[in-house]
Amino acid sequence: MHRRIFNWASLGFIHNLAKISSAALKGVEEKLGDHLIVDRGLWTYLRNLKPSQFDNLISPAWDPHGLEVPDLSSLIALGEAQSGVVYHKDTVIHFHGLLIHLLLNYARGLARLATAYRWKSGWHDKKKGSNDPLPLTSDIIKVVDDLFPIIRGLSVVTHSNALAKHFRECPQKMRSRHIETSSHLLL
Amino acid sequence: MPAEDEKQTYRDFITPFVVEAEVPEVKAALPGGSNVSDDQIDSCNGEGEDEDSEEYLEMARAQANVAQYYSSTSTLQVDSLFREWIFTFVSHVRAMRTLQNHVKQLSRGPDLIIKFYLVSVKREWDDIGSWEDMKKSIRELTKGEIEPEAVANACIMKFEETIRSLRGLQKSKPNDLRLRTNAARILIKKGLLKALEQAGQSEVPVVPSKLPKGQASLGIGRPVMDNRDASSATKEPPKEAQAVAIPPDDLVFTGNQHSEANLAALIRQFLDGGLEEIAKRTKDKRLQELIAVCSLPIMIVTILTANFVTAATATRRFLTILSSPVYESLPKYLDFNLIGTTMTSVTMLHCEATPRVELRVY
Repeated sequence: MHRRIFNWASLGFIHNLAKISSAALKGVEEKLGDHLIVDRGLWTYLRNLKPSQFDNLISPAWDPHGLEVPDLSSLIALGEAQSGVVYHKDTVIHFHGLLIHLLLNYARGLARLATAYRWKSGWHDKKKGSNDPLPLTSDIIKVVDDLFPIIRGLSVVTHSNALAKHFRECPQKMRSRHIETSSHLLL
Repeated sequence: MPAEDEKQTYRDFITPFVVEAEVPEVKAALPGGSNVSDDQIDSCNGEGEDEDSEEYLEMARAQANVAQYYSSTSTLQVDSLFREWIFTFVSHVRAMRTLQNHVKQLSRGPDLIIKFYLVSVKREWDDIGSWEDMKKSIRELTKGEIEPEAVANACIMKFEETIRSLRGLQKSKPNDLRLRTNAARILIKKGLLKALEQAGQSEVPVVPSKLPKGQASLGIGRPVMDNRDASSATKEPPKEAQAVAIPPDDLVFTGNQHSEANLAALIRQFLDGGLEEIAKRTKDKRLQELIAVCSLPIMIVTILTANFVTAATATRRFLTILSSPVYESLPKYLDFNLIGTTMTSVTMLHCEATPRVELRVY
């Protein structure tokens, strides 16, 4: 997983996702019109999240690029009345933000996992770093504990109808073969 | 393929998010380290593939390319495998919440640890494995002498110790990964069984490796126990361990005929403990191999095959089940979560409740 997300193509995928402009997302909203995407799995998952859990998933506090922070209540607002609708013109930006934040948080978690495992360049070379400390199980467990909710969230989002629709409607740049391939590898 | 400065842009973008931990160079993170060329990295991502090819075939080719790295660096692969075992194990005991390093306080040695571990696995199997239940169980087992957290922690340490000893195998047979991984499994199995024997089979009965003709076992080395009534345990497997009824011919997997229904049946049989019986019935070598490596008591299903395209297809189909009506018909307590896939085409399915199913494709 670590290797996958730190591949340049995966990084490019995340980068390009994050760089989709607000104007482009507005274009997606217009394309959607009154179209409503039902996604009970995603909606149920989001509805059952406590605000604090959601905040942990998106971790806006450490966002250095000022990315759009998704709003949980906006995402689930229509679902109650419309039987699990999550993705529609009013949630495009929030859904997009949720996806990016989850991916970034996932990358962050995997990087921390790598640290806990003491992974580094040349770690497998016994001649190098022979005095390095062994990984501590307690560190690994803590990171894994932190990672699990993110993985769960990412899993739900990446297997959602909403994501499929979102990618179809996203700007052409996101649909390039390169990026599509990396998205398969990443997700 | 983007220019180097574009790649650097990508890396610069994500670096602030992972500032706590240094982001390893992509090349360094790949097996083969800096010897991996950019072209090889590109090939992982489908560069040069036919535009019209089906997407899963494209992915399978990419995975096969990555697998070639592994086949050329088998030592790394083994290390990676072991690390993932630890990862899996750590995930498994996550529910146990190892809190303190009280291992030194243990007075009864690793036998008790393994025994507890297997008890906990059985408890998970029975879907009654809350941490509170486990704590109660440990206190009963140890008559309150040992803190439950210490036992849980020691479980991990014991497992890591086993893993470390297994790494010695890498040097002895460096060119045969399959042999080494199989040997590793056998070593773990033997270690667990030996520990169980020392712990006393009167308390923790184990299904004998050679069962009477016509009787199915429940998995290699997997104990059958009911610690809620330890006194009732005998050398004979309890009723629940007796042969699992499997409709004849229903589970014959041949070639690529892994239909969704068949795979769903496989999951069911796995849950019912009839995996070895399936292995006897199936004519599919790969499935036999899959089942044969289910040797760890932490309920791991492993697909080990050299055919990457087939493996990718099997994985895809397995995953398809999880979103199909067939899966809907499976018991509700089965809550599979796809927790991640890697470029090594390792797909792990985390079963939130019980038991854990991990599908690995090499």
